[in-house]
Amino acid sequence: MTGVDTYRKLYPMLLVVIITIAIVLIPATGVAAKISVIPGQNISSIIHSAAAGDTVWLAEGEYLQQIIVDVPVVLTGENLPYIRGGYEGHVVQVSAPGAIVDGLHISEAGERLTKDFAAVLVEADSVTIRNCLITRPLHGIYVKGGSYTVIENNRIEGRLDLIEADRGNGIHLWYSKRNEVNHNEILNVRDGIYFSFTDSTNIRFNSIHHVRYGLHYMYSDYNLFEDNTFILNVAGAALMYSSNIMFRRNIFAHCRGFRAYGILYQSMDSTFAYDNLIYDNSRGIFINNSSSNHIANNDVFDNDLAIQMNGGSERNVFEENNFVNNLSELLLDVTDRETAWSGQERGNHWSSYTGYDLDGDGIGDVPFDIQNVFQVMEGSVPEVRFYLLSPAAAILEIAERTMPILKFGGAVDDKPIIRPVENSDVPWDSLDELGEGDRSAAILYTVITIGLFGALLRMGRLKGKRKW
Amino acid sequence: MNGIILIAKQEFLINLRNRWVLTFSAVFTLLTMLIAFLGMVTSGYVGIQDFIRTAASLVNLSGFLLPLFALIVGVFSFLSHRQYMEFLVVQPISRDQVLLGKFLGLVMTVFTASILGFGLPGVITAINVGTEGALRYLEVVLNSLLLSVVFAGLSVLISLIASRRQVAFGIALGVWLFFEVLFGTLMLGSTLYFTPSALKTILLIGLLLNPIDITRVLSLLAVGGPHLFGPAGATLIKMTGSETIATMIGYSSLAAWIVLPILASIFIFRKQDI
Repeated sequence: MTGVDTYRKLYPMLLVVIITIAIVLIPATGVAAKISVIPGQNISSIIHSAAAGDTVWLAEGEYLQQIIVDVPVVLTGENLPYIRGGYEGHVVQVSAPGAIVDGLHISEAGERLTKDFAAVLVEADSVTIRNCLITRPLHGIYVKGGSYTVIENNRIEGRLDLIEADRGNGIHLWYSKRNEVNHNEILNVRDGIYFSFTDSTNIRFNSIHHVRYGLHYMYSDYNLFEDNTFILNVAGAALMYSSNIMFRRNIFAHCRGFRAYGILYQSMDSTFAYDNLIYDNSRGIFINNSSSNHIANNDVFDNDLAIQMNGGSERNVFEENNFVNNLSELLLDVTDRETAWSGQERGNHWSSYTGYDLDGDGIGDVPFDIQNVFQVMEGSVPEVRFYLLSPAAAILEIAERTMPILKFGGAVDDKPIIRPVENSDVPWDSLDELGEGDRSAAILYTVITIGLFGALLRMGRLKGKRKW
Repeated sequence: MNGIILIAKQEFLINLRNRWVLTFSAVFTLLTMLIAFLGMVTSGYVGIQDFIRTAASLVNLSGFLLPLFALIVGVFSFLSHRQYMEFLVVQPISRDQVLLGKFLGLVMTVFTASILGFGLPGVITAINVGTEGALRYLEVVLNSLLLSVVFAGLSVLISLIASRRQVAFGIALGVWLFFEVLFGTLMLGSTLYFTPSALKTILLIGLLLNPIDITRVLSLLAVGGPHLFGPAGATLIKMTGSETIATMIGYSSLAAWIVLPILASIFIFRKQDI
């Protein structure tokens, strides 16, 4: 009896508790309002009065206004609603932690680089920017202090009407950590992804092309780069003043110019580069004042110069890389005794290695002097390179190999690998190549050759039998 | 003008009957084909450096063979048949026309031999590197042809100075060896004796003094761009202003290498007692 009484007394209280919990929980569990907006309305004030978790849904059309997201809403819309900032300040400014910007076309950021204007400015944690098209930005997405940011599936097109120095960066990360930057395409900006004081961030499956530095990297540690493509940039990656970086399966290709590099290391320590493809760059790998870096299983193909290493670099290890068809292998500005050009058991594969393997263990029996006499001369007098691939240079190299009187550089691979290493993770398949070649050009050539040859013979009026 | 063309045709016909010409064409074609195959097909990778290397190998091969060929055929055509030369100069045309006609015929001969030799590897190149690569290859071919014209002109000059066939062959071989190997080795050797700043000038000016080096650098510029030469390329651009100007300087010095020996030959031939 008393039990039932107690239950009856408690019943209203229980109800109150349940209702209270429901009121608190429902917005958080996603039964949120969907607020529709049409062009002409002020989006910022709508967001400001919305509840956390609401969806602000923009109808298709053009919105000429800057947007401040100060409540954690989902800002999205139909068919990439076109947000125009009118070249004043930031276009979308996110200051609410957990806000999501999804599927907008964001354009026309302010032009003053000293103010660091951006198409999207993120100043809070756990913000997501995804599926957006960003055009005419200064910086594309500027994460200023916010951490746990997710930047996914965006396309950022920089301004071709500005000179490179006046453009901003595609994604600019500053004082931030634990971000995920995946599947973005970035082009025509100054630097593709710029890091400064940004740690523990993952960068995956991005494609960055036609920019100055694909990655520009300052004072940022413990980051991971995987499966990205950096092509047609001044430098694929400019890695500076950082440590403990791992990059795998990236493509650094077609960086051509006097100051162009596939990967540039400047004061980088303890980094790991595995299974990358470094293809057709003026200089493949440039290392300056960087130590304890491990570079293994990369394919370094078709560069004018495979590696340039400057002073202050110690204990770097090159292991099981393929250096194939590079015009020169190595340029040193100092004597190199600190670099390990081979690992414990195997060195690297060099296509310019001319030694032999009598015992058949796959390792060349003669150590490989990575620099030849011509490359050493080039190190002191750059103009010597005009005699690159000349008979005189060839004679000099052969003479030096036959009678090795000179000793130089000290860069020696003790265990050169005879056959190319099977680096099956190197992303050759992702490299869009120049095409299969051209049958019509071949036919044209045949016709021209036969035509010219015939014309010349006819001109000579060759008659009668040749006298032998 | 008619006289020049008439003599050129006649000269071309006579040269084609020279057994050297056919042998050379065959050997040259065989070697260029080998280079194209080895460079672009058998290496297993077909890439930009393959193309640059193939082009450079072709430039080197044609740099070896075409000058030698032009020199030998030139000396043959000027100093083989003394009576024929006497017969030509008594015709009612000027000596300038005779000389230019013979020179033109010589150039046509060298072109015939080299077009076959360059054409077939061109097909392989075009298949492997596409239309853009094929166009750059054409520039390489053009440079090599210009080089052969330079040495055809030099052979005329040598023939006129030497006036005896054996002597002329000797001089021709000496000239060939000098430009081919000695000059480059001297240039590389000079790095031991001068300061880097002086070397900058010496090596750049030195390039212009050797037509074989000019053609090699022009061809590498065409297939690989100035940054192929690294800092040296930057120096070149800085000293000349732009890649176009650098290329123009290269071509004008090649032109000088063609025109000056021929002008000298004309003056010598005018006064020469046949």
